[in-house]
Amino acid sequence: MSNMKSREIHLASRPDGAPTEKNFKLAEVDVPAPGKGEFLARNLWMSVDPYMRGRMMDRESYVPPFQIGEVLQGGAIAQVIESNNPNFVKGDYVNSMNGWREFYVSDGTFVNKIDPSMGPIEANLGVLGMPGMTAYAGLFKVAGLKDGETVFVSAASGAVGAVVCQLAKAHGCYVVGSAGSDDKCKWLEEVAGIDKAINYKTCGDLDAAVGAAFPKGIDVYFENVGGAHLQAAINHMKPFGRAALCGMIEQYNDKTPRPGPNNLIQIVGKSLRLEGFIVSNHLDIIPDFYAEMSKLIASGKMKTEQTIEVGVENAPKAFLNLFSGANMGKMLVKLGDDPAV
Amino acid sequence: MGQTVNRQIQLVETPKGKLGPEHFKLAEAAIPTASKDGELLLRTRYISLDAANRAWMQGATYRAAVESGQVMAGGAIAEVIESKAPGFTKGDLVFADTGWQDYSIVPAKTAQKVPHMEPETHLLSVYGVAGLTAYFGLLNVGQPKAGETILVSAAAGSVGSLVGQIAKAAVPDCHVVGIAGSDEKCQWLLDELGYDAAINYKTQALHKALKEVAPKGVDVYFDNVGGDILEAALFRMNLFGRIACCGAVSQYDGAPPTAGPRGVPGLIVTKRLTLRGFIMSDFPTEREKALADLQGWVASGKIKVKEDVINGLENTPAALIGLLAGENRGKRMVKVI
Repeated sequence: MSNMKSREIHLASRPDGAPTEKNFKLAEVDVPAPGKGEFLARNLWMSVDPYMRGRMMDRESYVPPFQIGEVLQGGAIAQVIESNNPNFVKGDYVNSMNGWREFYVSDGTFVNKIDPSMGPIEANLGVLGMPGMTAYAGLFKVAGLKDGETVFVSAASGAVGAVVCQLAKAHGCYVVGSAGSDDKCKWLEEVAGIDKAINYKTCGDLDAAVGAAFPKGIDVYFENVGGAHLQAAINHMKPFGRAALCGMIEQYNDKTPRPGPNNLIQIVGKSLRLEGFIVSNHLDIIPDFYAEMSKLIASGKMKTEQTIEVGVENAPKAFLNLFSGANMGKMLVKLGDDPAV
Repeated sequence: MGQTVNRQIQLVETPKGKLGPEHFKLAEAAIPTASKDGELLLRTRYISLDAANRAWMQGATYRAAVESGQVMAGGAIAEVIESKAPGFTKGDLVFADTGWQDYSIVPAKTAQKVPHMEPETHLLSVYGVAGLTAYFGLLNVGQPKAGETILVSAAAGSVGSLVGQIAKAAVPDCHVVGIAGSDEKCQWLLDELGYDAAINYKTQALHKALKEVAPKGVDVYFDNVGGDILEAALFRMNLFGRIACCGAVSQYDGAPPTAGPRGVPGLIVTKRLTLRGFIMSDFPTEREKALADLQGWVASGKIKVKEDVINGLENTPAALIGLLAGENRGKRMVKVI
């Protein structure tokens, strides 16, 4: 194995504003043979996610920053191809944070085996993985969604948003989502089955569109965007409405924080609750999450849409496309053929 | 008394910007009588003044907006003069939305009976909306834990002057920082109300001052003002911090702001903060415990009740305008009789 090479993506420089291809560098490294207690795995799929933009900045956050000149990290599904570790045998499928590379050697720390019978293996990066858990934690644990409530979801066709929409529908909710193209809106209404989709780029006055979609107001807002979306949601939330603040895709590339909504006074007047959250603080949901999600997948009530780039060299492009809205559903990079062995 | 007319203060027009005396007028009407079942005729004794009075002129909140030509709305301690409702008799004291007038007819179901006590003013301060708002906002919404840092804006106001003292009474080893608008008020917070540190937001650079007086960051922010101070607090909040959104006095009086605080929603997500708005009536089942706790702290001297009583119904508009300008210390009210 000593002659094996792995291609991987390094952080070349920290983005100033919107990231570009120049912030990334493709490198080729030798793959070491697995030592005692170690195994060698070949990545088949990797995930690109908006939160990675935050890790490119040199600042304190909930995960340490990426370092310049070093390989990036992120969720990836691999297959074990050689093992000296009794817990991981050749052929096992595993989930790790060792994305952005083709091969890795590990002693098993922070690597989890996945069950390929629960769904396609790459679903462990999407509906069955971090985005799916984020949707579940945000809706049920943070926002305390009750059956039959009204739900507004921004970036509704994204990896998290699409799961939020369908979970809420499965709980008998009235669901309205916003997305940035007619194709996405069509998918949301016709495939994901939500009650109404708003194309925020063509609807004109977003606040009016949200108001028209919610004549009785919003019980739960699932925030993925920030700015005008949050402002409109606050305007139309019912008394005691809850907002699960998950992300702000439109603002990750800002050099300085931009002003927030000017209607926060309504938080007081309507006794609203806004809570920011990160899925890793809510891992107690996992058993309930798998139980509900595997049922929904098996019964065909959880439609998945993914956008796929092929080859590690295209991973930066896949990541950059997240910010232009080029993805529908979960954005993935296919790194190798399954099975790898 | 011998009074034969009902003096009323009416809202002449909905203020677009800063509230002024020209927005009100004093009118006289006949003293009404309770004619329908379920009604009470009330004689207003003490009118509560709150920043929320101003918010009610801006549009519907948790209550309908006050429209021009109407008697200005406001809660008060009042005496029952005539009752057409079971459970209320002449001489009872109630807290009710009497409006700014000598006499009012109020549906009994919206009036809350309160005990006779000395001083009666405590019914509007520590045992009234201000005390319960401070209590629920700090303890139920903010959920402070021992040793945490608690920040309070409008700290010398009716609610703020109680929040700091409740924190000291209920939260072991907490570090309490108040923000107020003058050096005198800041000194008063430190000398009289037990605050550990105080910031004069009018003369000090807020971000820098907060860093100095809250070196471990802020765990609970009791927000009475919104705007720039909320923004500064967001940048100093610790992970999993809680913001009790009680009011936004900086936004009530004047045109709506063009932009909101920076860091919304970014800092709320990355720091996993909770912002929760509330009013004291959101906690009906906790009311008795809260009143018992407050009475205990007043009796033991842990809470000093600070009141700012203005005399005369005719002075109510000026008293509210002054409150919005920050001239009061502690709970402001108007003694009508």
